[in-house]
Amino acid sequence: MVVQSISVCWRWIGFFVCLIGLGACSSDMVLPPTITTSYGPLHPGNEKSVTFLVEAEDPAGITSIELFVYEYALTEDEDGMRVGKAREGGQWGSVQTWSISPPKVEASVSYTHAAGFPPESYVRYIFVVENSGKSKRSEEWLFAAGDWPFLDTPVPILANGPPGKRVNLTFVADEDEAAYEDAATLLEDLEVLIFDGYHTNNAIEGDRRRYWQFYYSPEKGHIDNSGGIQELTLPDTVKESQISTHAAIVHKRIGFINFAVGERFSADVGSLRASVHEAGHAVFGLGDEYIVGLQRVSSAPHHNNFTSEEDAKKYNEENGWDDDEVPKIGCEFGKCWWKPEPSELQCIMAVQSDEMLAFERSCIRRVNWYYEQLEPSGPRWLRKRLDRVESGNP
Amino acid sequence: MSVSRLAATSLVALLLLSCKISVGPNPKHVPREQALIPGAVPVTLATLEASDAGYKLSSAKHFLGSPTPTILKDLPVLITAHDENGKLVGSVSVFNPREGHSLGTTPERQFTLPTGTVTVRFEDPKKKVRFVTVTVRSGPNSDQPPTRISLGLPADSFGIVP
Repeated sequence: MVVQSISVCWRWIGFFVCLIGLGACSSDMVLPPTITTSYGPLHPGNEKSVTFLVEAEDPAGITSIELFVYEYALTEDEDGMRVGKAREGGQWGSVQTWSISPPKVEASVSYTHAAGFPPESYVRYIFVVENSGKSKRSEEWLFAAGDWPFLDTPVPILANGPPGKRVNLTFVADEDEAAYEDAATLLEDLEVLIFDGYHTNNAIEGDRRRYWQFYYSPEKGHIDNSGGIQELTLPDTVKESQISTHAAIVHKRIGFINFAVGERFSADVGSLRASVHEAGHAVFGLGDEYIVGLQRVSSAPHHNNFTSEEDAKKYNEENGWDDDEVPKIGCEFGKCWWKPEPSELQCIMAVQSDEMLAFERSCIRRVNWYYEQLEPSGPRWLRKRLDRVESGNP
Repeated sequence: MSVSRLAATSLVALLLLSCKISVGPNPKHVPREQALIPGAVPVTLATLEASDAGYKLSSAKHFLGSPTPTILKDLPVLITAHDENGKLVGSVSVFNPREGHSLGTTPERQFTLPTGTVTVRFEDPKKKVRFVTVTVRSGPNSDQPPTRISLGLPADSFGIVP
C-alpha cells in the first residue's frame, strides 16, 4: 500500500509533496478509487444506442460517479491529417452524475445513450469517480461510432493515446468463419476477448489497460493450417496500416491450436488464456516454457527461457531469486532449455488451462520492462522496487 | 511575510493539497479537436517479402503514422534504413516472418514457411530513406548475406509504389 501510494504521488503531485502528504494523511483516503470502464456494443452502428459502464472500488468509500461523453465528427484536414472535430449540436460534456450516500466500497453504474451517434463519429467518454477523501480517479477511452469513413485504416474500438506509446492490436476476422459474415458477431466476440480476456490478465489489467489500444479491420484475414503449414495472412490495410503494431486473426474453430508468427497471432473467444498467451509471444517476445518442437529463445532482457542452466541460475542470482529455482523445460534437437522460475508458479507461458493464468515472476518483470520502454514513469529506483514487490521478491 | 511564515504557510498548503489526489484525464481539458493518430509523424513504410530466394520489396510509401516500435532489439531480423549516401536513418528488429510457433508442434510439423512478409515504418520527416538492408540473424534465410533493397521512392512521393 505504501509503495503504491508513493508511486501514485510521484506521478501526479511530485515527490516532496507526496512525502509530506503521506505522513499527514491516511493512505486509504489519499489513494483514489480503482476503476474499470467499458462500453458496448463495440463500433456501434449509425444512431444505435450505446451503454457505458463503470465498476469502482475504494475502501474509503465511493461518494460520486460522473460520466462525460464528447462527440467528434471525423474529417480530413487540408494537410491530409485525419481528425475528429467537436460536432456542432452533438453531445459534449457531462451526461449524468450519481451521488452515492452512504459511501460504498464497491459501486457499479451504467448509462445508456439511447440516441447513439451519427455516421463518421469518434466518441470520447470519461468516467470520474470520487471517494470520501475527495480523491478522484478518471478513465477515458475513444472509439469509432457509425459508418467508418477511412476504409484504408483499421477501426479504433478502444483507444486512448499516441500509438507510439501503446501496443496497437488489430483484430481481423477469419475469412473461413461463416459467423463473421456479420460484423456484429465479430464485434460481440471482441467484447468478450477484450473485456473478459485481455483486461483480466495480470499483464494488462488495472492501470496497464491504458497501454493497449484495440482496433478491428472490416477486411478479413486468412489462417492456413494445412499440410504442416501455419500461416496468418493479413489484409493490406492492416499489414500496411499507419499504426498497427500487432494483429490477431479471430476464429471460432473447435479444437484449433492457436499460434503466433512474428507480430501476428490467432485468437478466439473459446480460449481466452491461449489468446493472451500468443500475445505474450507476439508483443513481449516471451518464449514457451514447454517443449513445442520448435523452441525459440525469448527476447532480452528478462528472458523466460534459457539454453544454458548456468545462464538461468545467473539470471536468478542477479535478480535476487534462488539460483536452484531453474527447472529444466526439456530437450529437443540436441538442445536443452531451462526456465528461471519454479514450475509451481503456473505461468501463462508454461501451463495449459481453461482458466486465465498470470504472467509469473520473470515474465511479469519483462512485461513491466516493456511498458517502461513505451512510456517511462517515475524514478528508476522506485520502478525497480515496484517490480520486486509484484514479482514476489520485495 | 517572513521567510519562516511563508515556509509554514506553504507547508500547510502542501499538506492540504496532498490529502487528495486526482488521477487520470480532466474533463475540463478535453480538446475540441482530436487527432485520429495522436503524435503522428511522417514515416516511410516498407513491406518486404521473404522466400528461399531472399528478401524483396513488396511495396513502399510515405505517410503520416507511427513508426514501428524499436523496443525489442534482439529479434532475428535486423532491418536498417539508409539515405542515398548510405547513412543510417533508423533500424528495427523484427521476428523472422518465415518462422512459425505453435502449441504442441511436433518435430514432423516443424516447418519453415515458404514465404513471409514483414512491414516496417521508419520515422522519416525529410523523406530521406532510399534503401533498407536486411540482416537475418537466425532462422530461415540466416545463411544468406545482408541484402540491400532499394525502395524506389522519389523524395516527393506520397502513396504506394508497386
